[in-house]
Amino acid sequence: MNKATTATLSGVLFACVLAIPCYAAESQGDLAGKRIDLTEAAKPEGFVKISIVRGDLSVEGWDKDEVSLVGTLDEKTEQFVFDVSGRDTRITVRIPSSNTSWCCNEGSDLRIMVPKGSQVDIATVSTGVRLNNIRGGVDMSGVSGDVRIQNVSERLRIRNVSGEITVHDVDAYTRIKTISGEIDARSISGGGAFHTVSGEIILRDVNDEIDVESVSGDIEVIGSNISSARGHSVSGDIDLEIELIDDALVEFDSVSGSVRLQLDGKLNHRFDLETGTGSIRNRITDDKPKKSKYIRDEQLRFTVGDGDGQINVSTRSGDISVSK
Amino acid sequence: MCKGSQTSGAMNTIENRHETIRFDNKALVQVNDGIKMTDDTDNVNSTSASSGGLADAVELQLAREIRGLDREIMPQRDLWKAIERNIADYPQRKQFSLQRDWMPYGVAASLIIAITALVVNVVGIEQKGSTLLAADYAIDSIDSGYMNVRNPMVDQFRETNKNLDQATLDDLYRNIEIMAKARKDIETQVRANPENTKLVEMLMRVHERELELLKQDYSQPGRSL
Repeated sequence: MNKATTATLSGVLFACVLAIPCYAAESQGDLAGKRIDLTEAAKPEGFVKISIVRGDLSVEGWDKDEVSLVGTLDEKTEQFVFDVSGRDTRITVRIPSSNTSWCCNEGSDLRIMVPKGSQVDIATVSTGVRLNNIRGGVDMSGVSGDVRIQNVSERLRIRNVSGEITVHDVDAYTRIKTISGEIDARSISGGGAFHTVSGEIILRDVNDEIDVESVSGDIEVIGSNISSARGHSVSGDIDLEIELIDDALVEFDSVSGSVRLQLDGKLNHRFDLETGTGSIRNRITDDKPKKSKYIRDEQLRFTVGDGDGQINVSTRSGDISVSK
Repeated sequence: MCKGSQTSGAMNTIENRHETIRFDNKALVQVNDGIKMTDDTDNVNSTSASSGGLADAVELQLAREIRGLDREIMPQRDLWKAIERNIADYPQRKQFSLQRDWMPYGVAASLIIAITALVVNVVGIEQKGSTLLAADYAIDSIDSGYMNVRNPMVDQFRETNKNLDQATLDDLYRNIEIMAKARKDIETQVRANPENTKLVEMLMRVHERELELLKQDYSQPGRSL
């Protein structure tokens, strides 16, 4: 085979690859603002990638081996893709990236049903997202839309700039990052990392390993069976009501925020508490904090039980309170 | 001291200061045959003293007198009762009146500030001061390097995302400001607490997230943060 023949065959092959059809890929004039109702067979544990700029999106897992898409497309839809190919499903609603053309309408409104064993990846800009019952893991990123997610297994990762993030009933290690959005996560099995800059973090019914960080937002954690809990804040307060396993490690520090730690269940831990200009209140034992002679500084170290676990709390100007 | 010598000019005053030493209402005066103590200090004005060794003689006599005293002298009456009564009658803590009492506090505050400034600038310059200065220098250096990276990315962000709808764009700029404020707040804290490595780590993470925020093209859905 000479070079010319090879080049020709390569070109034909490339053209064939490009020609693999999407289920629907039509022009803006054909689909913009139109109602759609589409269904395709899909693998039970496939990968579903959804990309929608704005509007409202609902994703739900079901027992059928099908992907179903019902709703209304954005009035400015430039390109719509619904493509099921092997394990992969791709759903995209693209609009022109022009400021003026974004004006004055509400975007897509779609409900997507996928096999519940699917792994789902969602990318948005200002889309409100609701997701329920996905067992193969969820990865979501956006800018300003609110996010409500529940009943997820395997993996959950959310990155949102400003929208509120509400997460319930997750059986997976959960990672959530936001800047100004509030994080409200409840019933999280498997631990997680929750980071915000100015938004609040509220965690209820969490366990295992917890890592929280906020610059100015407050942090509240209620959990049990905690093996490791770490957190940092600059000015936000930190409230913890947790039950620890015997050798748990707890480390929280703040600059000007106060730290209140209520420990449930049996304690078997060493405590190391330190504040710069704040005060320490110990309601677990009779040990009193030591005050420095020349600078305003309080330290308190004591041990409960065998001291298998370790609890370190420090703040520069906030107060520290530990109780049982 | 010696009233008689005050009329004799400045030099005389200095020279004659050693001639007469007054204790309460008594004075040690050198006379021809030695030193004597007189009850009338005014009378010493007329005493003439010409000897240059007067001072040494007075000191010698004083030392002799002192050595001759008992090492411990009990007061003639028990003074502690009076002291305790006075302490009870005049407690140190008085009702604070700002109008009446501001002056001592003002003076004390000024003194504290002045002494603190002195200690920081002079005494502490080689210890804590140098740590803070080193931290300031390090943060300035970090900030300068970071801004060299960040500022072009802000320009790029404006250009890339200029077509976004206004509400989303406003929201993004608001969050960029939040990140910048958080960065400055943490920098301030790192300068004040340079030994706090967790703060430094947090500053690094805020840098990282700010850059992640800025490098993104939000005009199409993708990875944020």
